[in-house]
Parts: sequence; C-alpha cells; structure tokens
Amino acid sequence: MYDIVIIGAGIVGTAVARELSKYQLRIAVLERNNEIAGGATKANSGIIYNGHTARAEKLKGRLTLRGRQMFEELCRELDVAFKPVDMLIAGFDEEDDAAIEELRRRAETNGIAGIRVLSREEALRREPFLNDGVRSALLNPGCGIVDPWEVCFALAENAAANGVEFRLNTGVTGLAPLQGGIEVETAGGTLQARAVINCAGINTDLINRMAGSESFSILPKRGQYAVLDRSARFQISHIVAHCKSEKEKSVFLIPTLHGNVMIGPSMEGTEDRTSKKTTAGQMQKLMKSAHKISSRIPEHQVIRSFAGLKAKCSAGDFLIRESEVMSGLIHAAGINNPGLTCSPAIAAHIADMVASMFSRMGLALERNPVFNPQRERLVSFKDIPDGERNEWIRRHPGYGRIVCRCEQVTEGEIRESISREPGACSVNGVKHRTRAGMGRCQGGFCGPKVTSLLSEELDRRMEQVLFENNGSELLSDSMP
Amino acid sequence: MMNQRTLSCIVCPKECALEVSMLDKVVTYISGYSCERGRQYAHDEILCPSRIITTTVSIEGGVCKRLPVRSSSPFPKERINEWMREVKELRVKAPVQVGEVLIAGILGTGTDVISSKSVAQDQ
Amino acid sequence: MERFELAVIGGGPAGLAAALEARQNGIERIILFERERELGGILQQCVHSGFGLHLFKEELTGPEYAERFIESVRQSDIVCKTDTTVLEISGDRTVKAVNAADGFMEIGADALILATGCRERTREAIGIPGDRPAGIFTAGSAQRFMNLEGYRIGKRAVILGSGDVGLIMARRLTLEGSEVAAVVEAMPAPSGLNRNVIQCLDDFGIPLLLSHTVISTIGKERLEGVRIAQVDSRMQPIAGTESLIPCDALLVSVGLIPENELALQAGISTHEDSHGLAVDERMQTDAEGIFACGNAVSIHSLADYVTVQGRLAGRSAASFILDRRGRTELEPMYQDGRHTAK
Repeated sequence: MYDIVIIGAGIVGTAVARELSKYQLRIAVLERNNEIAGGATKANSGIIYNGHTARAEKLKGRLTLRGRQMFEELCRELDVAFKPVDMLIAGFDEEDDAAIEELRRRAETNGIAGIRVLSREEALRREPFLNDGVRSALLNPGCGIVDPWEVCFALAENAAANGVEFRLNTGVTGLAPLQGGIEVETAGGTLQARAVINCAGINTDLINRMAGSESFSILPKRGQYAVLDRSARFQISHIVAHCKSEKEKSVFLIPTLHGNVMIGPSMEGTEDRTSKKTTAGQMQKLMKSAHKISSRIPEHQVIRSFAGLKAKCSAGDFLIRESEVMSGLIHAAGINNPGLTCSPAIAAHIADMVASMFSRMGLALERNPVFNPQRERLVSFKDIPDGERNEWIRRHPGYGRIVCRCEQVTEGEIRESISREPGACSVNGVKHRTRAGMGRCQGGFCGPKVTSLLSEELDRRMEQVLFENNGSELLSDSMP
Repeated sequence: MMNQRTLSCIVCPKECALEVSMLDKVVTYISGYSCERGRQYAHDEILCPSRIITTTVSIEGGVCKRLPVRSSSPFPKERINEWMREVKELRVKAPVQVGEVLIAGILGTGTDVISSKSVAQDQ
Repeated sequence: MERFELAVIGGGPAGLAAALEARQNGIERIILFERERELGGILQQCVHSGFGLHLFKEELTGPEYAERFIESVRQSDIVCKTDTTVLEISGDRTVKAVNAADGFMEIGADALILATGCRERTREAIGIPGDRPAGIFTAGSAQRFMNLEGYRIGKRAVILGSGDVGLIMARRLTLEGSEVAAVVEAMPAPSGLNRNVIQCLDDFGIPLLLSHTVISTIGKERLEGVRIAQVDSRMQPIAGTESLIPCDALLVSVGLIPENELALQAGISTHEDSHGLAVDERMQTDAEGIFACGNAVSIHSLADYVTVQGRLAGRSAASFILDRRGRTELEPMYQDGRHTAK
C-alpha cells in the first residue's frame, strides 16, 4: 500500500510530490500523459508574480505572497534558472490613470516594496518600445521569469531521486473507499493508498466525480500565446502589460529566459477539455491587445504559437481541501493563474493537511533522513565558457555534436534528457528539456536527428518514436 | 489523319512551347524547340512518353543508410510502377560507385538502373 | 589559434564551388566547415534529377551533381571539417566551431566565405491555426526522413505550396506508396517550374488546388485532416468554400529563407525583407574580407546558379587574399630600402 498517490504530474502534482518526499512516505505520482508537465504547466506565461494584486481574504492571494517568498530558494535548490524581472503596467488614457492608482494602493497594502508610478518619459526611457501615447506606468519590482516546465521537470527529478515513483500513461479511471485508505483504479491496474491528492488540473472535477461528488466544476479556459524569434528587432527588459480592469485582462509581453519575447495569453472559455488548438480569431485578438502596448511588435517574426487549457474553478478561488465524501482524498483544484508562483506554497499547505490527516489516523509524519533537496540542471553546451568546452567534450563526446543548430543543443544534452528519471519520452519531451526544436526552424532540421536519438535511447524502432503522447507516432513505416 | 499537339518542354527550366504535327501515328513536323534534346523530347512524348525515374534503396555497411538510384535514361512512364517494384527488390552492399549499373536492361528495356552516388564502406 | 588563408562555412553547392575556385586561384590554406557527416548540403537529399543542365549539359540527380565537386575537393588539399558546427564568427574573421573528434576550435582566416544556405518557412511562420499533432512536416524535413533515413511519413498527405520542393515531394510520396490527396496553392498559378507540374503532378494525376489554402489542422495526437478554403485576391479565405480533407500528413512547402544567424551575430548586414546577406558585385558583405554566396544571399531556383555564384565568391576572396599577401610580402623589402613603393 502506498502512503500517498498523487494524481497528475503538472506543476502542482510534482511540487506536492517533492514536498512530501521530505518525509518517510511511499509515494506514487500517476500521470495520464506520456510526458510530465503536459497540461496547463506547459502553456504558461512563466511569470513569478510578487502578489501585487493578491487579496488576503482569498487562499489564492495568501498562497501567492507565500509562494513568491519561497520561489527563488526553490530554484536555487533545484538549479533552475530564475530571472528577476520588473513588471511595467502601462496606462494610455485617463481611465487607466485611476486603474493604476488603484493597483498601486493594493500593492502597497500587500507590502510590495519599491512600487511606484512612473511618468511618461520615465516609462519610455525604461521601455522605448512602448507606444508614444503612454501616460504613465506602474513599476512593479520583484517579479521574475522561469521556464515553467523546467521547474516541473526539476521538481519531478528531485522527487524521483528522493524515492517518489512516477507512472506515466496511467490515467485514473475510478476511486473506491477502502479501510484506512482509497483504492485507485487506473488503466494499468489498481493501487491502494492511505491518501490520494487530486492534482489533475483541468480534470480535478472528474476525479471528484469518481469519488462520488459534484461539489465543484472546472470551467476550462483556453489561453493562446505567440513567441517571437530571438533575433527579432524587438526586445524588452520588463514584463509589460496594459492596465485594464480585472474583467478585461491585458496580454503580457514577456521577455523569456532565452531572449525571445512571448505574447499572451488571450483567454476564452471552452467546452472542449482536450483541444489545444490555436485559432485565427484569438490570435488576431492577441495581437490587437499587444499592439495597444506596442505597435512595433513584428508580427511576421512569430516563430511559434500555442495554446493551453487553464483550470478555473466554479468556486472562484483555489479549492484546496479534503473531500467531503471520501476520507483520505485531498483536492487541489482550480489552480489557475498564478498557480506557478503559488506551487511551492500549495505544496507546503498540502503537506500540512496530510500531516493533520495522518495524525487523525494515528500516524505521524517522520522526516526522510536522506532527503536531498538538491538537483543538478542539464548542462547546456551553450552555457559552457569557451575555455572549458574542450575538457567537457573530452569527458562527454556527445557534447561535441550539435543537433539543434538554432538553439545550439548537442547530442550529449539530448541523450542525458532522455536518460534522466523521469526523462524525456518523446520529441516534445526532448524539446522542453533541452530546447532542441524551439528555435526558428521549429525542428525542421533537428527533428530527424532527435527522432533517431530517441529511437536509440528508448530502444524503439524509428516508427515507434512519439511526437508526444501515445498515438502520436511521427513516421508511418520504413521504406523497402 | 493530320493532327497537331502542343506540349510544354520539360527538358530544362526554359520550358519551350513545342508544336508537334502528326499524320496518323507518324510525327511529321516539330517546332518551337531550342535544342536537340527538346526536339527529341517532343518526339518521344508523343510516341512513348518517358521519364528519368529516381528513388532510393537500402544499402548495407555504408556511411549512409539509403542509396539514391536512377534510370540511366528516360524510361516509359506507363511502366513506372513496375520499375519501382523491381528496384525495391535491390539489396546493395557498400562500397558502390556513382554510375555503377545495379540492374542492367531493367524489364527488358534498354535502360539500366544505376547508382547516383558513391558510398564508401563504414569503417 | 590555427590560421588559414580562407575559411568556407557550408559544404553545399555554394561552399564547394567557392572553395574549389579559390584553390584554383592560388589560395593554398583553405578550411571548409560542414555540419553534416557528408559534404553536399541539401543536394544529398535531392535524389530527383534536373541538376547540371546548365553547367554540365546533362541531367543529373542532386547527389550526382554534388559528387562532381566533392571528388575535386577530396583530391585537393582543402581541409574539410565535416560533422562540425560553426558556433560563431566575428568581424575580424575568426571562426569558433565544434565537433566530437577535435572538440571546440577557434581558427583565424584572412578571408571568410559564408555559404550557409537557407531554411524553410514553417507553418508557424505563415500562421496556420489549429491543433499541433504529429504529422506536420516542412517539405524538406519530410524529404530528409524519406531520402536519407528511409521512412514514410504518412499514408495520405496534403501538400501546402506548389513550389518545386512541394511538387517534387508530391511525386516522391506517390512513388513510395503514399497517397497525395492534393497540392494546395494560395496563388492563382503554380509557383514551381511548369516541368515539375507536368512530371510530378500531371503524370500521377495529383490534383492541384489553386487559390486555396489550409485554414486549420485537425487531430489530437496524429493529424486527422486539414480544412482548406478558397482564397480571394488578398489571400483571405472566402466564407462558404471550406472543406475537409482527411489526411495523416501535411507537408508545408511555403518558401525558403536565407539562413544568416552567424552573420547577424557578427553584425553583418542583411536585407530586412528577404533576410539575404547584403553583398557587393564581388559577393563581399559589408564586413571587409567576408564574402557570401548561394541561398544565404538569395534563394536560387537552380543549383547551377548557386555554383556559378559560389565560384564568383571564391575568385573574389582569392584576389582579396592575394592582394593582402602581396602587401605583407613586400613590407620587409620597404624596410631595407632596396625597393621603393610602387
């Protein structure tokens, strides 16, 4: 019997897994997809918010403030890149002036240091690409940028190193109460656990239904993004947004860790829980919204657009609580923006809930004496100084062969990304772990090479290599 | 019976417009070409349309996985599928030289199947 | 740092011709970098015929055409670094490169020739909305999978774009037993050569849908179909003309873009619209001693023309180097006073 089964290997599931691996617990994470971080985590802005708009009366607000405090330390432990970036919220008319003042007041209440309103000139000096019509801007220091999937991979790897089991392609099909726990039915057999933590993102309400309750529902929202080429003549040094009311959200212009500018998200409600399609209409809306901030965005330099589903909850706040119908079940539902920022705080919060649940069962959580909080990043050839490259290649010859020319990713990195635990299982898994295929050619050149490396490392035939999930084979068959 | 056909030459990117006059099934006059190859193409395209056919076959022990091959001269296009089937039976071992005949006189025609690349043995 | 007179970046038709021409014009220390294992560049995957009509007056396949130059390079003393990626160049003509055998290297040269070719525009670059499943390829990567790796990329394909690569892939897929449901072209006329429309589509009865485009891709994991629509003269889809073509592969063949990342990093100028390197009549870029040729300068319709341009760049680089060599050899003589300046 497992002590803990976690449903879902997104940012919340992996953060909870890693947090609970600090204790002597037998833990399994079940992921229905072939890759971790495949849901909302992947289609995320990557912004770490400082909580300037957080509302203390809401759980989400409290967790944002706490999550922000925890985030950099977490990134240090997991050797994940964190780039401190200030946010600039620009206003373009009189109504905006009032909105900016309102934002400033709320930020002050939340104790955000250094927040101030910039004049038009100062705003333009800091961000020359802003439209000329800018009236003022709120400078909101203390935000940051990460690669959301990198945080998730790092959490998962660290959790796995501390004993957590990851089971991919293992969707949950049913839950049943059990003496002192829960029986979890999956596509790959039945598991038993003392506690089950529902971190199923967009499908948390379906898991709730399996437990016999319809106490909440998830309203999926589709967010679309566009990414500009790194060499586009459009660079920004702040996260930039247009100040708008809570209802009418602005898109963000985001300087990513890798020198691209990302634009998004546009948001729309959707019934379809599986479709991550982009649409011409939303892309137009996205660009229109972005052009209000800067009309100089080079639309023709978009190298990639994508969409993701976000899990808004009917409750209107994060819903983190024990199930009212099945003992041992904890929900972490409706974790929408800023869920990434909150993730370490959510994990700590859930660890507290597990501790109290276990104490009710007469069990105590014992510290894992061999817990290692550290994880090392995948060494990227691009980041090795010239003078040290030969020594590295001598020890790891695969680092001498560049596979992805646009992002300068080597064979060594790709093989390493596949062999890690849990490692890349597909072309997209390699892409998100190494950036191979993320550049301007979008895998046109490196795709065939990445496919053959996956074929070798996973010991599968080329035509069995997956683009991402089961059923996404890239090639149909070999030619005579 | 006299008749006339207009063709677009495919010999080179110049794409000359060719006019072919025929009496019954005999070509009597060709115009519009600007080289001998074009005149020959017009003639053949009426009587027996033929193409250079190219494909790849697997190769063992070479520095690459596939060997590009071709017909040594234009081959009747009606029989392309037969040609493909026959060629796909080829089993080639490195080394091989460019121009090396892999199938002589394929399907009883006068054209050969030749290698269009030299492939050295993998060391 | 090892020094060469000339470093050529790229071992495709442009780079091969440039290196050979420079050698024939008296340049002795030449190094050529190629990232693939074999020389020849994209010609190696162009197994169809149609190359060499201008230069050799015969119809060759891509690999045959490449081999004529590769053989000459092999017989010369040009140093070829294959399987080697150039990471960076700088205006003072140093080159940083890496491979598994030699590791990281830095070399200096009196002149550089950039022959870095081009890349394909992707579905993202033209903004096709819809799902992002497996089964969507650029025509060139499909060509590589088929002709170099030996795999079929789908059972039923739609090809977007009637440029020569798209047309040639339509025939290639058909010959290898995949069905090509249609070639879809937004313009009112095919953009490839007429000879390719005849040989690649008409010969096989493949439909060419002019003034049509793909408006979305459908499929959760693997592509299941594409929606197409007729477009008006401004390339906008016309309402009411949409239809669905079931297919498991979409090949996107919507143009080529000069690949000049190395040059851009070194601050060398490109044309903003075409992305091609800006060169003078001798193929010199705005960085002294750095020349360019082939598709890195502009997209050529024929490899033969690329060769011709490569030769020009090779000759120009040679005279640049010889000019400098002449000056440096004369310098000591000035000093001992036996000669007066010319």
